[in-house]
Amino acid sequence: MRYAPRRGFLHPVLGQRDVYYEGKKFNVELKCYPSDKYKEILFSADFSIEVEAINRLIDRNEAICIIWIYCGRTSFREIYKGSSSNLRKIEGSIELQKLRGNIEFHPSVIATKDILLPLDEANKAFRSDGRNIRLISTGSPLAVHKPSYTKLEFDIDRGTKSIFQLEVDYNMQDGSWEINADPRKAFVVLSANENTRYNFEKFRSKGLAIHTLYLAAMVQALNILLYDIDIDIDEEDFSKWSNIIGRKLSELKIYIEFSENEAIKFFADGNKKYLTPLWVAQKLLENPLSELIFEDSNNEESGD
Amino acid sequence: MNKKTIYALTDYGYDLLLDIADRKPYLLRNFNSELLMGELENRIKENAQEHIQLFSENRKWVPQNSLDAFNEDAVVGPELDAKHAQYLRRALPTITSADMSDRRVLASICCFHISNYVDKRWGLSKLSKSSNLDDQVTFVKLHWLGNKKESNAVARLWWLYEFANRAAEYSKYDTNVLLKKISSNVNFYHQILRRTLIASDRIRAAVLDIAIETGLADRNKTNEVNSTMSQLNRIAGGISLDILSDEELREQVEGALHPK
Repeated sequence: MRYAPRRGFLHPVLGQRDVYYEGKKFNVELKCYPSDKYKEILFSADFSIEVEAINRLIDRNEAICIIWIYCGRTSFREIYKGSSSNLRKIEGSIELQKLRGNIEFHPSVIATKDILLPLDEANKAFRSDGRNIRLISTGSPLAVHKPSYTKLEFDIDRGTKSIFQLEVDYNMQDGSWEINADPRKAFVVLSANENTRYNFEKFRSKGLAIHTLYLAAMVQALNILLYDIDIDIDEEDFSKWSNIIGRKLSELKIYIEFSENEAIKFFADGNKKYLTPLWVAQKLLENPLSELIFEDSNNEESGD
Repeated sequence: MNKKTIYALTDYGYDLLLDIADRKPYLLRNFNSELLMGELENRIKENAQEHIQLFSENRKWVPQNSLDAFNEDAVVGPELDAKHAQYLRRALPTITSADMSDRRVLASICCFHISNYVDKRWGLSKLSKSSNLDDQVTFVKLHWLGNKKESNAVARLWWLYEFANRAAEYSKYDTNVLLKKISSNVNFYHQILRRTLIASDRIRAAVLDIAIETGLADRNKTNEVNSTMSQLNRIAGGISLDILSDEELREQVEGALHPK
């Protein structure tokens, strides 16, 4: 069962439509990152439910917090449940060899037996016939959350832009995006409409998509590489984004000079010429700006 | 027995193959992969990019059984899919589902190890016999270079076994029985690929068990399979089948596949 914005249920489902439980929220804080040895993906989900009736059902083990995880490329689909010690927190891990490409996380609260759902907090429409309780059958959703997505394309032979995991944040303001990076992961987090725009542009013009998103992301990643003392480069270990960049830099014969007296800089092999992060980012992404200009000139010639 | 090591293509190697497919698709269909290799090396020299690797030294597999058997035992059509799926699994026991959904691995196997098999297996396709260049390009991109589980030749075999093997843990039937049913019933295989729901091993097992018991799997009628699976999908839109007990799950699947 998926979250679907326009799907209607015969009973109120928290999070599905605002009118079901006016002013009540269902939040799930999801975290997902690769393990140190890069053998697994680790995740945790914290459920926060504002409807007391649903919370009571969870505490009585008549409903359960679950997250189902799906990866289309590898046909992986599993559900994970909260533990007996914390019914509203789900933690788990998945071997990375079972995953590739987009991964979907679908959080929900599900009735585990036939239950009577009190409707005191629900929209009055559900109580219009005078009843304030409804029979819900096993497996029915009580709360559903918009899915989260992440993309896994890490491996040593992927293109450099694969160091970034694209994620969609539905709470982010329209049109915005940001880069979050630490030694293990580099996320490009996009608002929902920016993600839609990116996917559209990607099909229309590969160069434009790279220009508008990955080039800026790569410049920021290179600045992190230069100035974050927690990040180092080990070319034998491809589990970290910094190492993938490091290996590509060596292929391009570009080196990082660390000096106590001067700012840290990139320079090209042989001539000690200093290079800006923007120039290096373009090289790492195989000159997307040139590609963009080339595409545009081709389009002009063909009259598109 | 030739057990040639399989190396995954790099991104660069894969992109070059795509380029060759666009211009000279016949090279991918040629049993002699040395011609294709020669063309790749020429392209590298033309681009003055000798330092870039075509294949990854870090991602390689030594087959337990020679993959030449595919080329020698190839037949037109799906008749031997189940047998070949079993053979492939024995030959490559350590390869993972992440690898077998990676087009760089799939293209490497199809182009440099079992090209003759691929060409013969898909010989019934109209594209196969077409002399039109666009059709030829589409044909090689589908069966040699793509990563779709229904059309890439090696992905199809590997995933047929994988779907059967994963379901067998929850099924009344063993892997071989499930494999034969899925591989001889293309309607079920396509439904497995199409529906998120049936990616669940437990739900897939329930669906296959009931389809075998009711004869649905053997009748292999497209409309019947599609409509019953749509019905199951509608049920799954309202309740979470994943959390149901085995009995409850069976009841729901039976209701969809074999309505009283």
